[in-house]
Amino acid sequence: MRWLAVVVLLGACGKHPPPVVGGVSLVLDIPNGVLDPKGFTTVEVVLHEPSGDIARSAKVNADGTFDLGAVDPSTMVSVEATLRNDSGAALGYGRSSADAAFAGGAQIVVPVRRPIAYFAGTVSRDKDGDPNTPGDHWTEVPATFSDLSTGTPLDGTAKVGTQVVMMVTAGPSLYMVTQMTSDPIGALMGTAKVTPVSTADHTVGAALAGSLTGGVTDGAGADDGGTLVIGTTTALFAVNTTTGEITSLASGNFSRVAILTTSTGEIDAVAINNRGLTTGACTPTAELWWATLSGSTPGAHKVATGGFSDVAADRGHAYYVDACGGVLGEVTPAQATMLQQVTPAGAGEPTALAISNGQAYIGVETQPATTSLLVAAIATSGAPRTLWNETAQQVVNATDLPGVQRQLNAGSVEFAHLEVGAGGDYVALTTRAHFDGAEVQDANFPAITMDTEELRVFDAATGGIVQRYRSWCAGVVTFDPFATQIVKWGCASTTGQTAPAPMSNLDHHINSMTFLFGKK
Amino acid sequence: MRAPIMALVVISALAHAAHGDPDPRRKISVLEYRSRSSALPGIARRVIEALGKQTSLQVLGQDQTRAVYGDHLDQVLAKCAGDAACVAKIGQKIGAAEIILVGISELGDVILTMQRIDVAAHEVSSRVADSLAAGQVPSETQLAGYLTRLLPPGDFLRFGVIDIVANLAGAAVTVGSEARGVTPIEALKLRAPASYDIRVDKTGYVPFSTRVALPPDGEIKVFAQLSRRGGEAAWYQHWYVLAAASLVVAGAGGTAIYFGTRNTGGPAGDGQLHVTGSIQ
Repeated sequence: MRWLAVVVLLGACGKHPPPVVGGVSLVLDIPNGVLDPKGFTTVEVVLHEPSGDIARSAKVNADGTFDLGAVDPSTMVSVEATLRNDSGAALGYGRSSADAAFAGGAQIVVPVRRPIAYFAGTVSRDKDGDPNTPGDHWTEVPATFSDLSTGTPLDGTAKVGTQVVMMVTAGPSLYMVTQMTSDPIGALMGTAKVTPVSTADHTVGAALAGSLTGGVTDGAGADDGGTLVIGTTTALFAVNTTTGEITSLASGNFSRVAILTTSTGEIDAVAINNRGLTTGACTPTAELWWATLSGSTPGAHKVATGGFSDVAADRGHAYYVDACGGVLGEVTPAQATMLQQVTPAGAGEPTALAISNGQAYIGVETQPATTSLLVAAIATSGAPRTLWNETAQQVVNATDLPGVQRQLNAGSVEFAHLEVGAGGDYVALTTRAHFDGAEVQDANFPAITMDTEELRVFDAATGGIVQRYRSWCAGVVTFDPFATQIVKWGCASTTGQTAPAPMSNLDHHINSMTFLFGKK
Repeated sequence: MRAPIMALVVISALAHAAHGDPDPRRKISVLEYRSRSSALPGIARRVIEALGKQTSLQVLGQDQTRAVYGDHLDQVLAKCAGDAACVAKIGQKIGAAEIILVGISELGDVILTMQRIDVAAHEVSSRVADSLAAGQVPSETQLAGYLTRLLPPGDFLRFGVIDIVANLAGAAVTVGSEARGVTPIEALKLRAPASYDIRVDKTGYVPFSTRVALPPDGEIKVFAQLSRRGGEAAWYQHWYVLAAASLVVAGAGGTAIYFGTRNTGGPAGDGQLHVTGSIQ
């Protein structure tokens, strides 16, 4: 009988080895295209079980197989897999979308993708081609992306899609949202459409049948790729990517959303309506909403009102930060409950949140213009540690006078986006800063007003910056009474900072930022 | 297009005799002092980033130091004007063992200095300085070079911990190619970042082997489950099955090797499951 078993198994071998009888077969499903993870040598697998996590790593053989050894069976497990090179860099990451039984003969499929972060925004062009006359014309442009597995510095030249105002990921799946812009400030208008984009080669598919109204603000997708939740300035929407149906869940100005899959497989979402500005006095009038996306009658209801500034989801639970109270809390369909004090009174406001595997990454804004990234464990009440802290500054060069520079200190800075990528290997955030530089007569410096937008991607383990990209830097000379001052200025880049490549790319806003398999 | 470096002159590099090995995880503060120069913006931040990547030191930046010391930090730092004893008092107040004072001044060229100030001794323990042409910024390699001259070599040795736990005692543990004793075994402090091949072996049991990537200052726990050879072992662990597989390999190519070279599989014994996988 044993001889027979050998022959049968070997005879059955094709591209996909069959599951080992009595064992568990893990299939890491890559997209089979130009965007396949490449260069990896090891696989790291984390099994999330009710009793705790089990981590295993193994060398990947030349034929793509690997052996993780023996593991206790479990009735319910979710799987995370990371493909790494010899240096430990994550070149591919994925996770299962639902819990599965870890039992003899089981085959568990985990989609795996490169750790790619996508950015989308709008750009403005001079309306009449004369920089001395006011007026901008706003337009939509392709999204850009940063493939962290290749380490190529971001300069806006890596593009995907056309006329994209927002990118949304849903586990291994990618979607772009298109919408018209309007002058003079670039506000989004008209209906928005959702279109799938291939994660194998970035081919753009056909737009879904449904459409959204209001300017799109934020989006998130479930790990199964089938459901999106999108906030706009007028409503909160659920998107069924299989049928193309788009359903309005509630009216309001929804600017932060997150999506979660509960232990029972139900897909829910949390969102913030009427979020206040964070650069001024705290406004406790934001509304925390809970939405049910599964079932035949999706709907949403308000849970609480307060200083809510961001939401996130992790392992079937939803969380929030309250800028006014300085707290991190958990939200359920029934209530919002404080978990821990993140910042004491007067020590900054938590305004951005992303959570992955129990680690909360919290963006804190401290007036006038300092941003910090804190890390805290959800399960414990220990003091958060600071991963990054910086006061926003920008150096400008006098275009006609080489060597003459001016350093401006920001008057305000705010987080726009915060997301965790590759299961916690990377943390990416974007900030917007505003600068008012007073006139300096002795130096012939005029008064300058300027705005910047910047992306930073951190190595979550070390806090080191992997990418730093200033997507937007635009200013005007606001006061030059004697017309004798230096009026032509350009934004300088610091070491390690990239900007849109000249001639081929314009500065652009970052209206959205998201990783494949990102967590926020 | 930036001009090439006009001059690159190491003005001084004071190598000091070590006063014993300082704690490689001690707290230090990196402060920036400018003498009427706006050159090299962000240089202190780059120093902090480099230290974060290359050492296990607890590094406070200027903002973090200010948060502890008070908003008048910059005023005090300006009054100190680079004086070591004065700067050391800042370190005393924030509980740092050392301060790295990054100075930028201009004498035609941009002069970049880094002083490592021993807070307890109130003196400079080492110093490096470089002259850079206007508009030039030191590369990452240059910056790393400054720091290796400034700090003791021990600061650049980083470690992680691998804790190997087996389900039975008396199994031989090999990490890399080095025998480390038998289980139960103390957690091993090893150089990091690095990848290590781990093997746990005991006569009569199927060996456990894995490879782990150990991050700096990280701790990895490895649970080695050894299952007994013999009646409960998988069918292909028996010599006659392996021999049969070898015979078939000759005609079956790479696919057969997948089975023929695996050392474990199927029911692993002790109620556990054997996990294998593939990337497709």
